[in-house]
Amino acid sequence: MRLEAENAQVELGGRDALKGVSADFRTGALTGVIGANGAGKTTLLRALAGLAPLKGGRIMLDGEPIDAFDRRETARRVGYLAQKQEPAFPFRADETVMMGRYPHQGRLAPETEADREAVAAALRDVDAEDLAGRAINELSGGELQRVLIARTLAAQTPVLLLDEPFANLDVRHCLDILAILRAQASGGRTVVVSAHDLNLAHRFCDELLLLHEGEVLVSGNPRSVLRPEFIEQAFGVRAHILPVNGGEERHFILRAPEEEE
Amino acid sequence: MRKYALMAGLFAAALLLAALSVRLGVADIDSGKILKVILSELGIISTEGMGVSAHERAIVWHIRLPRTLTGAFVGASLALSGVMLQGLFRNPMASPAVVGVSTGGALGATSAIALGLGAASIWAVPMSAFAGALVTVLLVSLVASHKGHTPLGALILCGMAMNAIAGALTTLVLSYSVSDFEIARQILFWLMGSLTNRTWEHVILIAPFFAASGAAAAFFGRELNLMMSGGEAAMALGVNTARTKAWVLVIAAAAAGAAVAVAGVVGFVGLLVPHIVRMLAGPDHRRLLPLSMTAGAVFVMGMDLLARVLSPAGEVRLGVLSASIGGPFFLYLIVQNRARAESF
Repeated sequence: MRLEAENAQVELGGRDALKGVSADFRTGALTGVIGANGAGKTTLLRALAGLAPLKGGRIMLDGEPIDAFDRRETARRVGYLAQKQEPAFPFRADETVMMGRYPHQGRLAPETEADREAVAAALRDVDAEDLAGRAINELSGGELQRVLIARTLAAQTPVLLLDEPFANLDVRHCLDILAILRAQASGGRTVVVSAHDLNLAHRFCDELLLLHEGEVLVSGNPRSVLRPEFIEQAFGVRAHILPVNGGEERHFILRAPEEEE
Repeated sequence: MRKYALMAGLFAAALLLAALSVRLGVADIDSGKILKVILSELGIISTEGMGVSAHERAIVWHIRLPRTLTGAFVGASLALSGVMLQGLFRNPMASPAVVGVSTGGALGATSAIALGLGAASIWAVPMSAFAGALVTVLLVSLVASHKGHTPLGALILCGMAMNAIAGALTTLVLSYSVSDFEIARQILFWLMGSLTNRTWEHVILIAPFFAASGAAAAFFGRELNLMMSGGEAAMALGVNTARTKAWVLVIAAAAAGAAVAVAGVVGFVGLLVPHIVRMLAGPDHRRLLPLSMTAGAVFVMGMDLLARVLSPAGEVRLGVLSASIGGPFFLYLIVQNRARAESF
């Protein structure tokens, strides 16, 4: 499903959090949204999910404005996982993942075979089958995060938006989640992830969107976006690029300018 | 299996307490006669020549049965209201009292009694209480809403403010009425909460509200579960949170408003019962709703029965007993569950 932002503007607490962002998120691609704190990453993802009211511009889903859909219809098309920690009540992990099926379920209808299969597949995808019967308030931060990602996957939406899904994950699970998201993109979904780690963003994303003060500074393939001049402008740091594997991969060393003088 | 055991146990307890409540009292009327009265009133049998006196018939049909049914509906309605509000606010402190139902209802009833409307019609006081409860909740949600959003924190604060205002006005009405002993007495008794002298009119008043709110609540089990993940998460998962909030408030206010209208202020049921059921049955509202309603009926019928046994003349009132027994039991549960306190 094609996801587009057309000159999207969002005001947050009297401040322009997004000052007209236009972007085209390709079907089958994993797009990374990067930028400094306050650059507008979270606001952009919330706007793309139809959760942040726009002051101007539009968000389009396959050519239709997202506000033409009600919440249920939107949730059948766009899966969104916030960065903000959710309160955890003693629901079991599999019950939590089943909540992702909500937009597909009838009001009083019981859970269907398709629901149960989607939940099992989602738990398998995030390597959390062994957590299924446990209460989510007793899980570690990383375990809970995997369950919540499974909940997002269980909705089987053509668009997936995840805001900093790595926040509570150790390196291994971080790489695993990225591999899952990669696989979801290869399977034909439109996947958008906001991220802080430039090395990971460079390695895993097909496209990058670099935000700076509520505007797109540059977008395109990771090599063209992660250039030292853009990194310095967006983050205020100096970037040194180390070629790894004979130039196949790159590693970024980032230093504060004061450090260098 | 355990899933159904709790429901079955509570339901059996409700039936047993209802039977005891109709059976026990100053006049000793045996079960056979009670059954005959009920069956004949329902038009199934004729009691002519069966040895049931008109006096006994009146006690069973016009005193004990309506009192028992009113108690069951009051308990179930208050618990329903409480469990929905606790889910909506994601807060174990929420109860019908928090959004102003009790104080608003009290102000409505007190004003009606003070104006002498009680003598005009048996409906006057309950209807004024109901109106007071609904108007207060409406005001609370209007004041707390801004641009179509109703932040839950603002709702609680507005509820507190409205409680203070309605409480002060009730006191004012009461102090103006003190010179008229009979009116002051009626107001005080109403504020104490009781099921004494409840008639079929009270049953007829609360039954449709209970049935409607119970049926409507059934549609919001999944939404309430999702709302517990937070408003934005629920929206992202497809819940129309504004509509859900509005419905839950209306349902909770109607159920608790009707309960306050027929029984006066019966504190603690709406807080205590859902809390205990949550501890026993977990957080899933699709189970919590029916379980809480049944447990609420059990609790209020049980407390009313105990009140009658302790003081046949009615000095120990339902409202007093439910708070003085419910309170310590609640504290005991909190101490028992301290380790899991954060799990709500």
